[in-house]
Amino acid sequence: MFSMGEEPQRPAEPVEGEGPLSTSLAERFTEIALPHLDAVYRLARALASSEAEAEDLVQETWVRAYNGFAGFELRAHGARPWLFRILYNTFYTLKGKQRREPALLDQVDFDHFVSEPSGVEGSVDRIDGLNWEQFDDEVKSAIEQLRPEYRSVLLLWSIEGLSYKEIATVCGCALGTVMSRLYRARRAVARQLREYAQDRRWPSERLES
Amino acid sequence: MSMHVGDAELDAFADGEVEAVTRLAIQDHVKGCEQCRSRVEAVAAMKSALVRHWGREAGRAGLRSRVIGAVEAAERGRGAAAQVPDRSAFASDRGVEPGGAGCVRRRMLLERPWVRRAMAMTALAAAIVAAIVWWRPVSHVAGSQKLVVVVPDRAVLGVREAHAAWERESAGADRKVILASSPSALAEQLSSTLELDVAVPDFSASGFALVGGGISDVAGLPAAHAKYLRERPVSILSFFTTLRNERMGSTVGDQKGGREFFVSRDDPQGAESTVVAWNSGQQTYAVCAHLPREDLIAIVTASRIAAAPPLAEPVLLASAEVPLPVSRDEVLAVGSARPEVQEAGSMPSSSTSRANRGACLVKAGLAFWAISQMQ
Repeated sequence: MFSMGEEPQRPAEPVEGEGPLSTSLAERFTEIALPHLDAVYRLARALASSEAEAEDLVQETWVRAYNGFAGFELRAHGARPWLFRILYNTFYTLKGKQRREPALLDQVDFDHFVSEPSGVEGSVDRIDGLNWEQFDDEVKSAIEQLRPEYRSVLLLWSIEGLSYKEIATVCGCALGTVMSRLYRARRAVARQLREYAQDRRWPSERLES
Repeated sequence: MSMHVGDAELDAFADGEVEAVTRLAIQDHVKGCEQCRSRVEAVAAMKSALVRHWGREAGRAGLRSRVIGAVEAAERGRGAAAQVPDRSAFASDRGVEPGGAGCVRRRMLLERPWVRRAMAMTALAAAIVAAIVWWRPVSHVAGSQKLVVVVPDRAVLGVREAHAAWERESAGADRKVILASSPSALAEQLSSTLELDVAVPDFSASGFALVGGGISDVAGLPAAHAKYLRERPVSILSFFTTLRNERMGSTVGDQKGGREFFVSRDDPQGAESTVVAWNSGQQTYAVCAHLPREDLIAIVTASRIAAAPPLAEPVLLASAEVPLPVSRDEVLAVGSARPEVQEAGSMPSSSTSRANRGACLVKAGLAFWAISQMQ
């Protein structure tokens, strides 16, 4: 049985001489996986540095997923998180020597800031007070400033709608790490946008929603 | 009013990620605290904005065909692997079930309309895998056809290990695929990974775009490869480099060292498969392609200008065009050594339905090669 925390295993089937069984496997995989292609690409794009690299990553993920598909239990995990998990593993496997865990930030104990008082009025790290309607490409630009591990968590939370636990499974990290990354990512994006607005001297009231 | 809620805890509350007791407590607080309520609403506002600006991103139109082709190619790869007659002997060592996915057929899949539309790209991707270098114990290949095989005993051991490595790669466990958009970037990554000065030629002038590359850890030594694709006419160009391997200990005549590249073609349309190889320093380079020999030599020769390392005069090692059976004289003409030539026995009946297969065994020093033609 496929476990979300493991790499896909080579399928035990098919047995030689049973072509239709294999065909069925490929067909089933394609039907189940293809609807998630855009989502997988988005995560790949959040991790990779270019479109071409993202597409390579998706292709490699697809092959690995297919190789492990025979042992995958759809009901237990759902196809999308499973594909995400393979993609995430693939990305960091291919990156090889790069550290999987970003330095310092993820070492911060979540409890350290969970009890902090609320953001101070006027702080650039506040996420409230932004008028999102006035931003366009700046939003993506701010996202692109994030490191891949933060960008991917932000994407899984916002676009893909995964829970913290699901994100932790995809990323292979602790729940607290997810919360930490998400916390930092949200505020980094807000800070970028706030600075952008301030650089253009937009009236302060335009910043307020 | 109670004390403000911490930012992260408030974020988690906004995301519905706090336990029931905490949720009720925060809910009570937020009702009476405009500042905290504003921050909760800000989380939702940010999420909506991200969806609006980021959620429409999707892969390019060709991506769908590409991944379909990749699955198709994976099947082909398994199929090729399963065609090694004594594969079960290796499988038992690895704990891999004999047969594997080698018998995969794609009839039902191909009947699907959207797959038909993707046939062109599928064929390209499948061809990529068909051109992948993989290893097999050719000395064990048996057949009624004329088959010339030259594999020194100690090299067989290396091939066995290499074949096992290929199987692991196929399973996706230890595969080292390098993602790179340009030959120079790939060369940099290969060099960094291998701690070796690896050059990846740029064949773009000949219409070949780099597809990707990777590293196989074979018999304890690395072999790097790069793949190129030319869409019109459809051709695959594969480039390989490896350290000349003294440790492998294979000897052919006076030649010692080098690596055996086994290039397999599983192309029912019978495209040509040609290999050119040369040595540079302590590395062996080989290029194979589904191209007429004249074209490949021209391409490789032309790349000498732009490609590092400096190529020695490329030498054609083998081509599926060569009439069978391959004579001993032809083998000797290719290599300077005097390899031992063995003819295989009878082919298992299960193999007779396979498509024509051309195979080239390339060794540093241009020592030996083998071609088989299956009916």
